[in-house]
Amino acid sequence: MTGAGPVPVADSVSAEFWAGCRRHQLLIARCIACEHLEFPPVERCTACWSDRVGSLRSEGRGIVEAVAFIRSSVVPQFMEQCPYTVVLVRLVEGVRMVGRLHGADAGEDPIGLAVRVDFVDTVDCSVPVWQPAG
Amino acid sequence: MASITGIGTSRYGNFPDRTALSLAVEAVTDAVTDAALSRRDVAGVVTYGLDNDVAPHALASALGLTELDFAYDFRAGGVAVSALLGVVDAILAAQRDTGHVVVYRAVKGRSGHRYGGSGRSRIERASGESQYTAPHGWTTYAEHMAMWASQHRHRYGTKDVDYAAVVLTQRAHAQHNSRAVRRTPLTLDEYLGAEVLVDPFRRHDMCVEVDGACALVVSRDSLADTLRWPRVRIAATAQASLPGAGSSGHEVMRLDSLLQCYAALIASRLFERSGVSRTELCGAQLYDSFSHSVLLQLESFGICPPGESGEYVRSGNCSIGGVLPTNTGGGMLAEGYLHGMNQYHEAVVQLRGAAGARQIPDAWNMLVSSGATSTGSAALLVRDAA
Repeated sequence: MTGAGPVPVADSVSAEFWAGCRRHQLLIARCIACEHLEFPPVERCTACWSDRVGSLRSEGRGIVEAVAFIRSSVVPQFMEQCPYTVVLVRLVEGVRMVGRLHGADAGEDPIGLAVRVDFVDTVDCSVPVWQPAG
Repeated sequence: MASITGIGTSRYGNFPDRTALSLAVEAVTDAVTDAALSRRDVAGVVTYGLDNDVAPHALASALGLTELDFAYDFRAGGVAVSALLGVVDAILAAQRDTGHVVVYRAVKGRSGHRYGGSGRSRIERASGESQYTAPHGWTTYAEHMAMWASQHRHRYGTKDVDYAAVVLTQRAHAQHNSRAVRRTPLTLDEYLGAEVLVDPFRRHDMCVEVDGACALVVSRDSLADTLRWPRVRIAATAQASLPGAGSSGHEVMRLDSLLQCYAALIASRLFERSGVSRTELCGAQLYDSFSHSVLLQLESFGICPPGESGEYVRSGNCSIGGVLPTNTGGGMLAEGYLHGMNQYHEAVVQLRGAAGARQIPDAWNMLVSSGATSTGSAALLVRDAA
């Protein structure tokens, strides 16, 4: 499903995250100096400005905080996939990610729903998606 | 201190054969003429490009503006219009012989680059900030704004009729505005019967993209009194971003709440700086890229309590004759998306008492805002007693 989306272009800051996805590991940037967590990953810790930023493997669980039910899209490859649901997830570690919600009742408000991560693989990349933790 | 002394527009609509420069020339000429000034009086030209641009020097060449001592494109987009007026005010303070500055915006929003994304081709790659959002099929402003609306609905039970109230109110105002692209009134049944594209938004909830241009003449106060119209003073401006704000939708990952927008941070500053209190407001022209932007700002500016904006609009408070007539020219939802300049045009028309059938009686001040989500700015305009 998500495989038809644009391919993420990894850069010097995001390469570790996308490489983690390829191994089906969800990585969060963690400052080696002060342990501050951040997503999306950052060049430099926003809490202490250390440039030693590593990664923490997330448990891959979180709660849905916001949702977009997309019933119609102006982007051709997404129009083919409509309707679909994109959610804002707050991970148990505290950072947030945006991603597709799979396997939930269409149209039902998922805010507050406990979800866990899964990965969709294509030839080019692996992308995290979310489904009810149930 | 500076005042707005001239306003001008092109026609708004679908004009595939016109360039953005052609539209800018029409609007700026209209504004300078409206101020009873001439080409030689214009000392500065300022715009704020974003995707659609007419470079200030291109405009200056096209209009034979040879006396310029300031020309700049601030490239900050619709969130910055009000803050930009504060910048112009500062330029006038620093350059004591600069008299009149033109602020303009021209867009080919209908036949050229569509902000809403229509006509887009497949997106093959996602780099920079979009790599964390676009691969999931979350790319447009409507889809971004839907996230904000979802939290409001979850927390407060916001309903379709609340969004309808914003749309219907503004469409009713637009009937009396000959520039408005969506001029026919809309009934609740028609609204509810329209397809939901990105929940909770129907096409009516999204601003209407047009080709067009809008311009203001901002003048040094000491020169403003000699001109044609009662002067409309820029009494105060303010700008802010919520902590974690970014340049696109992906910022939602860093915001602790989507229930309040930038306006929550600037409201008290703006009222204090201007000397106009919230309860004294005569009207508001709020940045309405989406119906939800209006609800969010009514709450964040403290005009109504959190969660009560829908009821506030449904009760007629934002209609002409109501407590706080809002977007009285139809706003960008009905008049056309001029990237926040419409709000200024309409505010000045109202403060001059020149709004005809849509006039707010005795309007002497107006809240004008720029921006819908985490970042924005606003101004208070005041017509001084004659």
